[in-house]
Amino acid sequence: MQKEIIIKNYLPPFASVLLIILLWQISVMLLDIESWFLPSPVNIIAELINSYKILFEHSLITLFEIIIGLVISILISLVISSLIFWFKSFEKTIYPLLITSQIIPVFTLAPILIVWFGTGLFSKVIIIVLFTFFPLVINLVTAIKNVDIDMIRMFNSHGSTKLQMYKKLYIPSILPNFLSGCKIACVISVIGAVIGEWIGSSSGLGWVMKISGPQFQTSRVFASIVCLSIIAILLFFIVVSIEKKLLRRYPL
Amino acid sequence: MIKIKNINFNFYHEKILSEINLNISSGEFVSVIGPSGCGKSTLLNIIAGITKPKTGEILVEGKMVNLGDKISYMQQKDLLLPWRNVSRNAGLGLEIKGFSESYIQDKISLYSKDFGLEKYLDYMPHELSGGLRQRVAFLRSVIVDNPIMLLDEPLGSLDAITKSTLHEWLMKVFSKFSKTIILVTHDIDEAILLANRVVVMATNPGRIIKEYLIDRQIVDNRDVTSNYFIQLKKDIIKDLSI
Repeated sequence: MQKEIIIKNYLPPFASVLLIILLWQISVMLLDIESWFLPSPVNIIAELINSYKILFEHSLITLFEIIIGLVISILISLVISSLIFWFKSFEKTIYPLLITSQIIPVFTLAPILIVWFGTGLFSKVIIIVLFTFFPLVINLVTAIKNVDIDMIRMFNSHGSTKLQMYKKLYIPSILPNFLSGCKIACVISVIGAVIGEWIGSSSGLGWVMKISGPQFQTSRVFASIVCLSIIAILLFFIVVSIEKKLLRRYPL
Repeated sequence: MIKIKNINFNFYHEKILSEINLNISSGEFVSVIGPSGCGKSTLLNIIAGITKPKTGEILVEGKMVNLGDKISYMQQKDLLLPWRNVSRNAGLGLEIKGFSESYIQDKISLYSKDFGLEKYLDYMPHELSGGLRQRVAFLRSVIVDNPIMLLDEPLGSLDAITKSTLHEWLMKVFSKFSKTIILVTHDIDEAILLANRVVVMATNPGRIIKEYLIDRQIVDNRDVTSNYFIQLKKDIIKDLSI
């Protein structure tokens, strides 16, 4: 039974990825495409094996930036959403700023941030935060606003304090939305890290991609993309497992 | 016990409740019936202290009361928290009042038998039927030991058979725990079957137009085909259609 469920859940996505890789390999071989133009999956795997030291080292740097950026984003979103709960008027103050922060493309801000904060960790973390805090905040604010008014009345009728209501009603109510926001943030944090590293850095997978491209080391660019994908998938599944643990008693 | 004095309530410029005056004695069961939009639920919100009236006051034993102090309020939806099991949902009111976990558990064990919930204490709300969920909501309201209970169509969403079973059970439970109850309902049968007094409200603006004292000795045999019951129902329907 367990085996059947695993096959049913995991076989279709695994098979589709395998099919794409297979088609890619066959196309490269049949069309005789040069590996500097489009490396075959076999070339990329070979590059992953040959350059594992460099890739691993720079993956750790990128992962470190992403984790710091995500933690800051989560803290910012929790503070903003809590302030909106405690002070209703704060929402009106902060919302225009939140929207403005998303209207300006972060890519255009990146060079300015490099000028201001240099090419160290800080500028990259800021770019990751700018990318990731918005979905987190929006998910949390929406969840806070969607708490059932009758539930609030029920708590009030029991003489609940605002702190009790926050702990016993709001936090559990917004938890599913918060975790959904975290999943989105995990995936897009990788984009933020690459942009930061691309524009001004001397380390990280974005930098590896930046210097490998002009040298026609296309296999290494693809190998870096594979590493970035693994980081994103890893972070996503960490949140999924936390979600499963925390929400195991929720009706789904 | 409860004195509802000159309650007026406006929603923006619209008058929702006009000059509501009602005295309810200790242990009395009062049903409030009226057409949709006559302000029945607003009246309960005001009595519970959730909504402030434009004018007037609610006194319990001569005093104004704080939220949750003497009054339990049960709304139409069971409002069970989906992430808590039956036991933790039932104990929510006591938890808010600051009682210890062991006291809450002891009290739930004591009450759960009367509520037919002793088998379900570890169940999650989504694992329960509508009738059982409603019992948990009743338990949450009763267990806090407030002398007054406000019920806003608590059985409104249930089917007729479950409703009828719960009527009988409710009568037993409420007589055992001797509460003063105000029930808002759309259902005339329910209003007569459960209450000592039926208060009829009219709309535009919401106001009390009539009160009927119920002869419990006649109604207690639950014969809805008796002449007394039918006549009473006819009178109330006539009042409601004015």
